[in-house]
Amino acid sequence: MKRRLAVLALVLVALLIPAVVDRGGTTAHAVQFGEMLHEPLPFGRVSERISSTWFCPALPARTGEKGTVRVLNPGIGDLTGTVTIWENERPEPTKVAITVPAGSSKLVDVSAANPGDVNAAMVEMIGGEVYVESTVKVGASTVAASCASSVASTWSFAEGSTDLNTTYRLAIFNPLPGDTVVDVDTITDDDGFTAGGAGKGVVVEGQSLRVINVNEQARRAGRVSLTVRSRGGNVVVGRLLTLNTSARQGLIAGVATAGDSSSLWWAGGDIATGASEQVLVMNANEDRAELDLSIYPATPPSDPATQLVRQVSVPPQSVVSVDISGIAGLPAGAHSLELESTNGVPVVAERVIDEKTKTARRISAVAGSPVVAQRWYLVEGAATTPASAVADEEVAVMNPTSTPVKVSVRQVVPGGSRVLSEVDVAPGVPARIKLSGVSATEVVSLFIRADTPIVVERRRLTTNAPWSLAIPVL
Amino acid sequence: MADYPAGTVLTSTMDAPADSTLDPTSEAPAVVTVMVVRDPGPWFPEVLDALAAQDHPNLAHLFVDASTTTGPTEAIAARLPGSVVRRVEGNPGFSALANLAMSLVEGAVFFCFCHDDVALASDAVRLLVEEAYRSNAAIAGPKLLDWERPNHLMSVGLSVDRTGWPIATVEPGELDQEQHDAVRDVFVVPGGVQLVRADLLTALGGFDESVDLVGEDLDLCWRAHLAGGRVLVVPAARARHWQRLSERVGVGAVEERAARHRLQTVLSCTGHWRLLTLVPELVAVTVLEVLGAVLAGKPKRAVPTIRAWGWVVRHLGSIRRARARNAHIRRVPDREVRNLQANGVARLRAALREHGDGQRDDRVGSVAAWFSGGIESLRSGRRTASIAAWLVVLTLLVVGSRRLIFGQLPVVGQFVGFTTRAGSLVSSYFGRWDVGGIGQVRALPTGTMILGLFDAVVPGSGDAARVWLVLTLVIIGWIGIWRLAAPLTRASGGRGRRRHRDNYVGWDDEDGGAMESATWERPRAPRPQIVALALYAGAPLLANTLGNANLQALVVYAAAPWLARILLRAAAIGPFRAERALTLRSQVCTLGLIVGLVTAFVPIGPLLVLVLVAAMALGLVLGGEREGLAALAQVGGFGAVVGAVLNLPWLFDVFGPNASWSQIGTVKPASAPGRGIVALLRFDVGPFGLGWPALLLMAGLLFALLVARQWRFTLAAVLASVVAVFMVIAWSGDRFAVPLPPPEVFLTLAVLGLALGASVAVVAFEQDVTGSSFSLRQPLAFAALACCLIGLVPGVIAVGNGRWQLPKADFTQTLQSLQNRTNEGDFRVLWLGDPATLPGTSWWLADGLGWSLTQGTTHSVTNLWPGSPTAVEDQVRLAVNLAGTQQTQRLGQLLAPMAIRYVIVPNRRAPSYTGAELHPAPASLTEALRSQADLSPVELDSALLIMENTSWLPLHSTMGDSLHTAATRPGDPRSLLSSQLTAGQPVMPVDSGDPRKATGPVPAGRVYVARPPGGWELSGPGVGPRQAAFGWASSFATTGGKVSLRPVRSPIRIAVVVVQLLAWGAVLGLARQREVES
Repeated sequence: MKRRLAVLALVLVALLIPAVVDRGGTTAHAVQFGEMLHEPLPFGRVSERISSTWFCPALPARTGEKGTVRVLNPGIGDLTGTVTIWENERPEPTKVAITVPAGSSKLVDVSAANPGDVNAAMVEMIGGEVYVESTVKVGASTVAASCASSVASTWSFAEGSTDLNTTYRLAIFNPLPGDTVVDVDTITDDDGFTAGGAGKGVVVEGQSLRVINVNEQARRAGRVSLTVRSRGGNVVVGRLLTLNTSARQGLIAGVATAGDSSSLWWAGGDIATGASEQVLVMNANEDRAELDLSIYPATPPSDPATQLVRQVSVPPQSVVSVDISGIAGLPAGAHSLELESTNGVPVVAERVIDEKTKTARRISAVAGSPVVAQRWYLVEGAATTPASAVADEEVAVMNPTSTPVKVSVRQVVPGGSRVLSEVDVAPGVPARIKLSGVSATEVVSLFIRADTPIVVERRRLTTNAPWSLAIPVL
Repeated sequence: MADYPAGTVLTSTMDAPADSTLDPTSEAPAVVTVMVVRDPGPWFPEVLDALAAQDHPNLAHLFVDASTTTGPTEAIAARLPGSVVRRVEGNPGFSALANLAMSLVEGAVFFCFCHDDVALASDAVRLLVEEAYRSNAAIAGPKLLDWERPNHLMSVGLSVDRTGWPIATVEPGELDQEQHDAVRDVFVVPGGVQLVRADLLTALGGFDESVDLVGEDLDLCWRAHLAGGRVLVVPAARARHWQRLSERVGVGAVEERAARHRLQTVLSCTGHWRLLTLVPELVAVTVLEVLGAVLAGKPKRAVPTIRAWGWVVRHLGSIRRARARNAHIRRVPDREVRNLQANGVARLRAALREHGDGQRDDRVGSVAAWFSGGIESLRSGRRTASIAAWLVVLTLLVVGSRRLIFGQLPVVGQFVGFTTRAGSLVSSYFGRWDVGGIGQVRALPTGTMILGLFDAVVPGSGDAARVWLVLTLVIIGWIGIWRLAAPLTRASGGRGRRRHRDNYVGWDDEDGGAMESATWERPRAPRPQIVALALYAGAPLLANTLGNANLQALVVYAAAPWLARILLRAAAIGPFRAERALTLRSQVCTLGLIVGLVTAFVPIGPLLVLVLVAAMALGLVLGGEREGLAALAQVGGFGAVVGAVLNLPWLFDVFGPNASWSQIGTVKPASAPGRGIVALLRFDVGPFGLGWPALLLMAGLLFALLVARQWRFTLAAVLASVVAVFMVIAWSGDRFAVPLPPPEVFLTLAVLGLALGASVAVVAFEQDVTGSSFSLRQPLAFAALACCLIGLVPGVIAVGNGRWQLPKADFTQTLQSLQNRTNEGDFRVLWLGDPATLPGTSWWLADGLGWSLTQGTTHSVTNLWPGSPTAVEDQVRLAVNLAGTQQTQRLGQLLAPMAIRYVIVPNRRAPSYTGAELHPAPASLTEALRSQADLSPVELDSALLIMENTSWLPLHSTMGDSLHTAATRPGDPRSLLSSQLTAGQPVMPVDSGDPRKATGPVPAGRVYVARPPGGWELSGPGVGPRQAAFGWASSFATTGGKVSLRPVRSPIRIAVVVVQLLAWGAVLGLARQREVES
């Protein structure tokens, strides 16, 4: 009997132990390999890469227009690479070999290298850590914005217009070898959501640029939000939007937002005379998005009843505009914004600031940053005005954490970086850092570093360059 | 005795006879006896004397002498001085020699063909001739009597059934009491003596010379029937027949010729329409015959029949020509001939009549003898149950595999494709160069050789061989479990043997009294074997193993019962002790052979056996039986060592210092997380998740554990230990990141334990429960039986699919358009994805993610054992990781030197239209690939993400200056990305039948070969020495002309293989020396 019990015990133990261990769960785990490539925003990498590829999809090259790209090499070794330039619907690209010395940047005048209509550039650098921004100049307006660090299948712009005296060129850049087909869905005030409203089944051949004149597709729409969806392949989408209406004037250019997000931050923004500020929230999903828009002014409002948190409800496939400058009681001066989805439905949002100053009229549309980071780069950096030797750049910093943070703004120099300014930024309080002590003859690429994650924007003070988001390093 | 050259005519020709002249003026018809003589025995003078004594008045004698050493001429001359002797060199066969009579003889009315071991009665020829005239017979034959006992009948003519099976009209050893003395029509007159009308013989074209010996009588008589001739037996004419043909030419030769010639005659003489129904009938009879032979434990009996079919398949042309000849001589409708034959498949009735003891040499009796044993068993019910059980499982196997047998076995999982040229696998084994991956120099796996031999031996294309391989493994496993449980059947009295206490000394004392009194019991059905077979075949594990296309587990499935049988014998548990007690050496070698075969496919084979031994030892200890421990450990331990040694030097590579676990274990599919012990107990490890009933299969073993006594309990304890240990191992490998083979491999041994455990339960019920007073044990027994039956339901349900849930197609056709692009240069394909979707064995890329490389688009045997990744192959993995972590968007350029043209990520293991289960690769991987600037998507099937490398270099190509310059730099990613890789013109296409060879003209300049050095050479006029390219590949300067890439045969490797083969042979020889231990 003892032996019988012993054998039965063996069987029992052999089955029970696994059963007990199995209670911990045997659910499938997702395979961990690599990282998802598509981020909503361009980003850099801390680690040194084998190669870096950046995509600048919308660089104008007509007469009176100029498109350049600047490649920053903040590392300690010289980097070589190639800038390949495609013109709208022309298969043969132009290649420009470049070498970027360590701790400096290199400007490539794309419109000079390949005159024509609109160009797209693919910057490939071998090794190192590389950041690329493009500068678009149309007439008197200049916009600097980061290029895309990846391709994606879905891109969105919340802001846009095909109103009278407005030109909206949508650049769809397919840098990959395979052909793809894209649909451009639109949301307008008059027609609402229209699938393929600005182009349906548009073939974009491999390694080519296709520019769509949105004015011809969605005529006379005061506001056109659009989403570009690629069927299968991946593309990069940019826009060239020139506004010359009585209400709005200026240039909006840059890369679209890839995908949507549940949390967005803007470091910049002002309540000033002659300036209007709106947040356009675009919900391309099938569900209604419920969001909280929080405003963090530099100085507290005098009226405690001032509404600093606005509930925003965005129906499916629609766009809602929130007028920030119209909020009663909001004190003048700097502020930051935070948009958070309360029901988890992600959105695309842009903050549009229309400024009318004594010297110029400018407009900016900046997509919210879906990420916070401790390191940010501004490639085009602070150009100085020779006359005053005062840097014309203002860096806006938002501290979304609950603790103060020390932020240093540094100039990228060979062998590392030089501190230009260091400030402490309180939680929820926007900071503005004006640069000083910068050489009058050079274009200074900036490196912003903080103890804890922050959000960084910049704007030029003396030129017509509007707000733009820095490039985070993940 | 004098010898004479061929063609010598020793005496006068037929027109100048001396004493035995044909007298044209005689009223008696001229008869010539024709005797083919070949090395006759001491009986021959008596044969001659009998001929000399014939009283037919117009008789001459012709001897065709085909003797090998000494001629019988002197004896003939002494006794029949007027005879003609024709000396013939060589042995073209009886028929050809007999046909000489037609050319040598003129004026004969009858030929009397006699064997050289027949002594005719003095009036035999005369009586035959008289009856032939009287009855207008075409062929007539005498009553044949036993040579030594002339009062015993041997044959009075033969009948046949429609399958050509001869039916004797007399019983073996039947006394001649004139009971068969009426003249009557028969279908066949046996070839011992045949009186044939000369004109008919000429019309028939004589004997069919392809029917050289044995069966020529049937063929001639059948054709005589076709021509409208009568065939008579004339019992008044008598002859004694020595009939020891098998002693003269061998039993095997007789049986083989009989089977072949019978089939040949049936197929050539049967009419077209009847043949349509007859051929399936013949096939069915053959299957039954094979089955019967296997069940009788004498599978060799079926060999002649199988070979006969093989011969027929190979000689369809000659059969077609014979049918054409027979069509010309046919004067009688087929139905009339059919009416002369016996009804039904008379073979069974003939077998029933045969009560031979297997000693008879008669070809009818010799085959029927064993068959009659089976028939007797059928009557008794023992074989009925066995045959029924086997018919059920075989039918289920055929039904369950019907779409594979009659359709396609897809290249999925480990069911990879063989090479297109038979024998190339065997030949590759003698080299050290494995073209798998990027190419490695290593000892090739022994399995390569075995699969190569299997491919070469099995008829049909490589695809057919793969199906046969799968089915053969399954059936070997079933035969193994049947044999394994046989001692239990004997212990339960299932064989009906005379049982005596002495046979069971020491293990069944408590039953001694009953045993002693039992002298002969009526045979009972082999219930333990049937139960074991049912559980082993019916447990859902087999269906899931097949569904997972797990070749390794199938090999273990086939081998496990045989392993267990040897180990249980060694442990001397219960009835296994009564099995033939072999010497330790024989047991070790037998086990070593099986372990060697298993290890050739499953590298951990020796470890598996050691664990099995340990588990059995644990069971022995728990079961209170320590006596067999030492022997068990000795046999198991040494057997494992022998098995490992037989697989050297391959195992050095597998377990060597640079080995990777991927050779031993598998990359765990992401789609198969830890299933949990309950799922494993249900054997839910594949496409058949059929719920809880399979859990009930444990009931039999549990019942045995609860009620069994004595040796039965010990055996149950051993089996329970085996089940527990292998369940836990399977669970560990499945639950944790333990690099072990798939759980099916271990669960197979657990199923074996359950199956044999249920078998023990049957014996325990019969011996420990039956006859005892009523208690809980009786209801428990019925509950266990019910549980086992219910537990088999999932396995039976799995049969319905017809292909074990394997997809109905693979990617071969889908990717054919890519494969066809080899005219642009040969290339490799990088496969990435869930290992469940990748054929062959994957290398590890990440947890749940594997990768492999193929030359071309199809996985082959080389992908079953890809070896450990080399440094070059690691570069591929590194490149993929760089792309996956967004370190580069030029993956194509990094893969270009390896000639990787396509990167393919399957998300199913078969095309989407097959509905195969989805196993998506991580989006991070697919998106990384889709975002590469030099990978272009190719749309073929939604189940495949195919990215074409726009930067690829052909496997063999010319080298331009830029490529040459780039190749001089190291092949690290940074150098590659900054290099200009311009592909040259493809050269030297790879041999379609042997991927190790390539030949073709090359222009003057340099040639790039994307292969690391070693194991091959490039030869041809003006080929310079090898230079490294990219640090690992090869480039050669050439002056132009035809060059060849060939594997290099290393004498050392050949010597090693020869030694290995000798080792296999030596172990096999030692294993076959089955002397019984004293």
